[in-house]
Amino acid sequence: MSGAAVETAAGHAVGGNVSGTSAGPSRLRRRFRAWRLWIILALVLAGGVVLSLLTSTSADRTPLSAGNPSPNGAQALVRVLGERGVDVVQAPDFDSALRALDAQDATLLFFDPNEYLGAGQLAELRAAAGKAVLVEPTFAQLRGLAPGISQAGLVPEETVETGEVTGPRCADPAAEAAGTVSAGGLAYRGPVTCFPVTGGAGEPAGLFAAEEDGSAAVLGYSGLLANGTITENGNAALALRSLGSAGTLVWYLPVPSDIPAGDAPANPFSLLPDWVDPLLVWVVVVAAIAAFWRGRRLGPLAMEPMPVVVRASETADGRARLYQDSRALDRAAANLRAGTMVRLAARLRLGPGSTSAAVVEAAARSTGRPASEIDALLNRHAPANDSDLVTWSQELLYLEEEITES
Amino acid sequence: MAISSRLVLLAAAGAVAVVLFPGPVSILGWLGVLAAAAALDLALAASPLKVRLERVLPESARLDEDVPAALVVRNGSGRTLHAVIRDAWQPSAGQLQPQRRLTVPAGEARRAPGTLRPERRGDLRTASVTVRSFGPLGLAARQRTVPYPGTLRVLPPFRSRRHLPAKLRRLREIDGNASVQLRGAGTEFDSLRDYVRGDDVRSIDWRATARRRDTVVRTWRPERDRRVIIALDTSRTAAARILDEPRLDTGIEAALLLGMLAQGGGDRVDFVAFDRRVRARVDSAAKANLLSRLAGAMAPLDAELIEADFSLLPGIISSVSSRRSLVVLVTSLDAGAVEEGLLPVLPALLAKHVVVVASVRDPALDDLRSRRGSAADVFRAAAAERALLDRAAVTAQLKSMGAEVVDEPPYELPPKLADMYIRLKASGRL
Repeated sequence: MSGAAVETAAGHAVGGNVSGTSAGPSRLRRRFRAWRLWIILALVLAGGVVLSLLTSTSADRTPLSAGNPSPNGAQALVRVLGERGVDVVQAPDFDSALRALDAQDATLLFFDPNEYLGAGQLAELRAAAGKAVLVEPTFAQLRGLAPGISQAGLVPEETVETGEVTGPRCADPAAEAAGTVSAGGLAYRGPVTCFPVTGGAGEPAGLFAAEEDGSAAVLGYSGLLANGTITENGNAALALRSLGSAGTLVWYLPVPSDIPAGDAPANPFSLLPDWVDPLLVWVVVVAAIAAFWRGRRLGPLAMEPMPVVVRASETADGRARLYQDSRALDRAAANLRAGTMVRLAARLRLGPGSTSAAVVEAAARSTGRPASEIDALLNRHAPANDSDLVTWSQELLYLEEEITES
Repeated sequence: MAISSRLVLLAAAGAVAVVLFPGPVSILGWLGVLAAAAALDLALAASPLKVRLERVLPESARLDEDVPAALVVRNGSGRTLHAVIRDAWQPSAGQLQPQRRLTVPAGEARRAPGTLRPERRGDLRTASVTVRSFGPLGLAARQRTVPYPGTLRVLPPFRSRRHLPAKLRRLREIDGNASVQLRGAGTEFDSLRDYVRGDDVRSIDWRATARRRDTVVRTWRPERDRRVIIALDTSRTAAARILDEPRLDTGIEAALLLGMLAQGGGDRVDFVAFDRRVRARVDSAAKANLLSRLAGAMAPLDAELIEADFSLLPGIISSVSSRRSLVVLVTSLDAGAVEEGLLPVLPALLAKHVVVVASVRDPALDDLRSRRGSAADVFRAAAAERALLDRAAVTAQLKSMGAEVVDEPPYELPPKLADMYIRLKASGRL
């Protein structure tokens, strides 16, 4: 851009010719300065891309997901089941889960804490599945998949604090094999209720419940399957036995897209017309263009060399503060007295060399006040505190005014 | 590169397309339209590289006046130039239209008129001119900043000029036939004239009276061609602002009035501004107009935050004139600065010259002195009394050494200094 010489009227070439003779680095720097904005923009863009690449690992973070290796996932259990010869089918959505269940007599693992599925879908699942294992099911899910089992509330806190529930106290082989399981989650009550957590009175409720015919089982605590806690107590035994009873296991965690049309709660954003999102994007684009329009300066800033200017009475103010801070009453009084004396002497035409006694005498004659009173005011008084100084200085001023007017 | 509000409006109009055909296609499509339109406009814009500029500026200007500052824009490209031009004057130059719109046909030149209203005395600068050349659609522009330094010297306002006619009249009154009022109004023989009642009998020229048989008196006029040397102190004390202007500016006003008056009185005027070195100098030997030379020399002066070196003064004065002169020292009567700087060199000056010390007096001190409402007020009054007493002591000491002192508030200083000059001239002390 600056390669061509631009001639100003003063007759000297500015640009190529001049900068050609000047040092190389300064030219480079000038070029860099001209392109700085674009370089910074490019760097920011590149940084954003790199950052998004680094953070966008498609890791599965869904709780109890078969592919999730984190403590709340269930990858460990799925791997072990696979090694034991169970064919684990991970169903990504409702349709594929149904298809997998229809194909063979299979066990269904069902965990849907968000209640994505409706009653109709649950009935379809029940019809297709040979055996359903529900994890922390809700009331509606129980009614659809295991009507013989009912909810019995949260596991009491004192039980959770002990960390484990011993003794299946039931006849289920899977529960008997486990012996002890970790405590937590919800309690259920069914035809077969194991690991009871609520008191003896009434029907007991436990962490594991099953239908009489074995068509459905309920695990009250997702920690029994999760990677983090599956090795504790007899969790693994309970999980493997209850899930590995059939040759195929369909691992189905409903996703939002499985929500049946019609009975899903209406998302308020879905009510907006479809041009709203593009319009918002376009508004951002227009705002960026407007920012560039307003932000582009017409040439560099102009410098203003400021001359030094000091307020003249600053020294007097500073001295006054020094007097006040050090409570220099005597010095302030001496200044006021001297100033008054000098002006009185001039006013009474006594000349610069006159004594204070002469000033007092002349002032007394001029005002008609007794000389002793004026002498006390001018020479004898030493202010003791601030208020005394104020009244005394005002009296000095009155005396001056009196003599000036006379 | 730059864009205009039109491009933003065009982008905003794209919202309609986005609403009618939602989706990435319309967004990207409209972005493409914008980019194509801007690129087309940029390609068709006259190249700012081929623009030549010429600034039309007066040599100097007075403060308080509007200064025409036009830019002549010569379009050397083959296309019509639609430009917005900005001359980067410093803010105190008071540019009235910093951005000017201009259309220059290919190969022609146009004048972009402009006006500066300077807010400050001194050298006002601009570093560059920026040309933004829009294309025919007015959507996007090519922008280039051309380094093109320029300077406008703004002279001091010389507001005390209004005192000049009255002071010149008084100077003429003591000139020539002034023997009626003032015995000793000058020592230079001027002419003989008839005696009128009231003339001083001592001025009767008896020899001429005997020849004419009529009483004849001699008249004198003040000496002419004496030297007046004005020395202006630009040290830290000149930076103090009193009322609404720095002490330096008041000193400049006083020096200008005195210089013009002394020139009117037939004297030769030299001017020196100094602190630790000589900052400006005007020589009486040069021919050109004194006022413009004085104002031009004073315009770029600024107070420096350093102590004045008064020991320079005898050397400066003797380099100007070896004859007896009137040395007018425009400085401040702050106790410290004067006692340590001026007093030691004053005897040497006084031995040869007449010295007048002119200083700006701060009326705020008198105000502070008589305000005694609260303890803080009284302490401030005491400090003001101390400052005034110190000044009075310094003034008394200067006077006792034989110097004249003019210590006045800002607006009074120039006429009072002129009065002092007239008084000295009338009494024949120059």
